[in-house]
Parts: sequence; C-alpha cells; structure tokens
Amino acid sequence: MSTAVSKPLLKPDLQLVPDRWAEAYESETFKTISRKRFAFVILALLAFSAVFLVLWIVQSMFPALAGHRVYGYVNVNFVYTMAIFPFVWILGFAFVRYVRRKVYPLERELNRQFERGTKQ
Amino acid sequence: MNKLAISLFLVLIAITLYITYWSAKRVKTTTDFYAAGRQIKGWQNGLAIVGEFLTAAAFLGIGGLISFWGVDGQIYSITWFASYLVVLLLVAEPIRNSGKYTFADIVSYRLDERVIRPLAAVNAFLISLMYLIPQMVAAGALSKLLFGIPASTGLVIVGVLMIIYITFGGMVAATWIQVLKAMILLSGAYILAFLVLRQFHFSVNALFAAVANSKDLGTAWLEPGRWPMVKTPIERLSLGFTLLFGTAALPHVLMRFYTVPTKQHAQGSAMWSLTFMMMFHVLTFIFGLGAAVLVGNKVIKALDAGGNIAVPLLARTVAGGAGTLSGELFMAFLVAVAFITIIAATSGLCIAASSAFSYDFWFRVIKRGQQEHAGQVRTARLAALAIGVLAILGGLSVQHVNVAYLAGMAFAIAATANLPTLIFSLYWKGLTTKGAFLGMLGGALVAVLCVVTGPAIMGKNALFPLNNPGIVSVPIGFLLTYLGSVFTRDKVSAVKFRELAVRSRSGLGAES
Repeated sequence: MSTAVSKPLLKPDLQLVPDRWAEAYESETFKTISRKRFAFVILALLAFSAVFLVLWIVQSMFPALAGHRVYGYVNVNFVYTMAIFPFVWILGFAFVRYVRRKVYPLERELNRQFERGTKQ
Repeated sequence: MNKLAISLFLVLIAITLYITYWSAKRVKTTTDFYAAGRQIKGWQNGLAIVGEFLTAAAFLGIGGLISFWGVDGQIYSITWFASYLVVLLLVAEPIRNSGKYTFADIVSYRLDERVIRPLAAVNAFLISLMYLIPQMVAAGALSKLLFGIPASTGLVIVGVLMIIYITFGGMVAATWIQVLKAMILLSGAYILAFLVLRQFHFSVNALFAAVANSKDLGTAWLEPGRWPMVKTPIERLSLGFTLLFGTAALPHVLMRFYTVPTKQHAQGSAMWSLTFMMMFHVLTFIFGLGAAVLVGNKVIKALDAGGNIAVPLLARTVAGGAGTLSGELFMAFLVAVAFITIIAATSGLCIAASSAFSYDFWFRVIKRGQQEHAGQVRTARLAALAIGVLAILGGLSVQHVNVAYLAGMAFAIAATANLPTLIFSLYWKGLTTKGAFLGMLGGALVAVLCVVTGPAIMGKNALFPLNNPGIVSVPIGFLLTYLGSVFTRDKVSAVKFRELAVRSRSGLGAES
C-alpha cells in the first residue's frame, strides 16, 4: 500500500526550481508562445462578443428588423441566430488549427530546452 | 405508454449498471476515481461533457419553452453552446496542464492553499449541490409525469442509482454513462427532427408557415420578445451573460478536463463538445415549434404547465400518433432517454461535490496531503454516498417548492465567484491571496444576495430587479478580486505566477 501521496504535479525529472521557472518565463520561446496565443484568443473573443452584441441589439432594440422576412416566413432573427452556430464552431476550429500549427511546435521546443536543462 | 417506457428505462438502467460494474474493477487509485485514470480520449470526453450539459432542461425544457413562448427559448441553446468556445479559448488546456483533479487545484496553485482551497472547495460543493437538488426535484416531477409513479419514488430511484454509479464506478462510470447517454440522446434527437421535418416536406419555411398561420400561434412565435423572462433588453443580456460565463467555471465541467491524457486531448475535448453541442442545439427550434404546431401548446399546457412533456408528445405524434405501436414506442424511448439524462447529469454533479469534500477539504486541508491511496478512495466513496443521501433528503424536503432558482444561483455563483479567480489565477500576475479570498467570498455573497432579493424569490416585491444577476454580479466579482489584489501584497503569488503561466500555457511539466 502506498503512503503519503501528495503526488507531485511534475514528473520527477521536470521538477524545476523557482529560478528555472523564471528562466522559462523570461525565455523568448515562451514570450512568443504567449503572444501568439493571446493574439488569437483576444481577436476571437472580440469577434465573438461583437456577434452576440449585434444579436442582442437587434433582438432588443430593433424588433422590426429582427422580424423582417428574408425568405418566406424565415426572418432575420432566425437566420442570424442559426448563423451563430457555424460562426462559433469555425472560431473554435480555427483556434485549434492555429494552436496546433503555430504554437505547439514552440511548446515542444520549450519543453526540450527545459527538460534538457533539468536533467543536467 | 407507461409500461413500455418503464421497460425501456429498465433496459437502459441495466446497461448503466453493467458499465458501473465494469468501471468498478478499474477504479484502484485516486486518479482512477477522480479522473478516470486520465485514459479518456478527446472525442469521448467531448461526448461526456455534452452529456453533462444535455440535461432535462436542455432536452425537454428548451423545446417546451419554445413551444410556449416562441424562438426566445433559443437563447439557452446559443449561450450554452457558445459557452464552450470560452472554455476552449481560456480554460481547457491551462486546466489540464496545471491541475490534478479539481477547480481548487488551479486557484490555490500560487496562493495560500490553507486559505483558498477550503473556500474554493466550499464554493464547488455548494454550486454542485445547488445544481443537483433541482435536478433531483425535476427527476421526481418528471417520473410522475412520464412514468406515472409518485414523485418521491422517482426522486429516490434517481438518488440511489446516482450513489451506486459514483460510489462504485467513480469518474470511470460517470464518464461512460455520459458517453452512452449523449450518443442515445443525439440519435433520438436526430430521429425526432427527421420525423418532424418530414411532416413539412423537409422545409423549415413550411414549418414556419404552419406556425405563422396557426390560429393559436402566429408570427409572434417566430420573433423575439414574447417570453417575459427576457422581455427587457437588460434581462436578455443578463441571462445570456450568466449562462455564458457560469458554464466556464462550473466545477463538474472543469473536472472533465482532468480525465484526458494530454493537453491536446483537453483541447480536442472542448472542440468535440462544441461540435456535439451544435449538433443538438441547432435542432431545438424544430422540437419547440414542431410541438406547438403538431401537438398544440394548449394540449401541452393542459398536461404540464412547465412544458416538459412537449418533446415526448411530439415524438408520439410524428411517429404515428397516440395508440399506434410506433408512436407509443418512440415516445417511450424518448421518455426513458430523458430519465437517463437526468440520472447521468446528477452523477457528474455528485462526483464534483464529493471531490470538493474528499479531495480538496479532507485530503488536502485536513490530512495535509498525507493519506494512502486506498484511504483516499475510501473517503471519496463515503463522500459520494453522503452527498447522495443529502441530495435525496434535500430533494424530498423541497420537492413541493419551486427550487428552479437554485440552478440559476449555481450559475451565478460560478460566474461571479469562481470565474474571476480562475481567470486572474491563470492570466494576471497581480492576483493575491486576499484578492482571491475577497472575490470568491464576496462574489458568492453578491450572487446569492442578488438571487434571494430578486424576482425569482421575492416576486413583485423584489429588491433586485433581474431574474439572472450576471450582468451586475460578474463585473462585481471581477472588481472585488481586482481591488482586493491591488491593495494587498503577495510575493509568493507573484513568484509562482511565472511557474503557473509557463506550465498552463506551454504544458511544461504537466502530469501525464
């Protein structure tokens, strides 16, 4: 029976001392990772917020526009609401592709640098 | 119908019990119990997350709401769906990279654990319990409506099954039951949507024309603004705000990201859940408007003023009608699925509440991280049992009271108290222990106060005007956390921020 297991969050060979974390934090690779991630996330959140804000404005303040028919009985409110589904999904999909292509290689690089560093 | 529905329900229960038996043999360590051994693949976890979220409120409630009030009910569909984009962008990977089992792992990482972890545990426990009790009460009410058995019996059945699943199978059983439920539910939803649209020659315009030309309905059902809950612009915005941001900090949703082996799988889980959520939520208008036209909302209202029977009645109508074998069978199938939906949802909440107690409070705070694995699993099982009993007793004691506001309160606390601390922990160097303490405690109190003094409880005498307080309470939560941090110092937090930032954004050192 194992005892006392406040199991470390890190694998033993990746236990970095505070200075090494600071070094990783200050490294150019990590700064690029953060910059790339935030650039996408902020843009995506802004786009997402704008789309929802427009929906709210149309539904709350322009009911006539919301009820305006675009095809038969299908109105602007319905088309816009349903368009949010693919829009949000595409944002999510684009984020995943972006991170996997642009950010993960850098993360692997960072891992290599500091995994190697701790083993020395 | 009742016998048919009960028979199908028993078949599904037998399958879930087998899953629990299979899972029980695999639960040996705390990681197995709380995180399914981190063996769940991205798409499986995506389905399980969707399972957590496609509760009776989504499956039966949104359809009923749309059938009564028109397309306003879609606000639940788009905000619940879109909330997973927030999860994907901001929390899925960082959580998997930096934590172990619970929400408290993240928020106490760089702060004083003795102060923050117990508070985070209490918040997580209360949120899960507040969400759990209305689910139990709804289960009782639905069992009476759908199976014709007494509400208290239905509630106890749900509670006992939940206890069995979690006590024996832990997160392994909870995950696979959610996966099963999500697959059955999505299949049922697509068959129903197909059958409804067939009545309108697969033309959405024809469905809308039927709504517009119905003497009981009209074009107002196709336009926003009928539902009193979102009658004012601020109510509409606040409801969306609460749902959107509350979801991203619900403990039982966050816990799911620990069940996968890597950050890629965590990211994949969020993307899959976004996909499956979209697959379901694009259909809700078909269910609601279809029920309003084909069943008639007066018929629905006469049977159930809450509208929860709308989707099952629609299923019977489009599959052949009352008295036909196909109609009764399809209705029975959806009724059984709805009930399984509730049981699975309660299981996820039960494991979140029990981990808040057994892992965060008992193991990390009381035992100071010193307890053997077997003892931890035993405590977790006992906690699940105790929470199950508490939920049954709580549900029975309030089953004749309208406790729907408790679920709203759970979302409000998650959005107001947990989200600011979670976001600041991951992304802001200036967060201090005192700031987090003020934000979590103050935020929770503000959220509770807004709901308690709001229309949901005080009716027309409400002191706070909004049914959903998010638009007011969430900024207050962020502000409290910010102000509490800028006026205090926490050197350890600032130093450890670098460690958490590197770990959460890059995955360096993440446990595998």
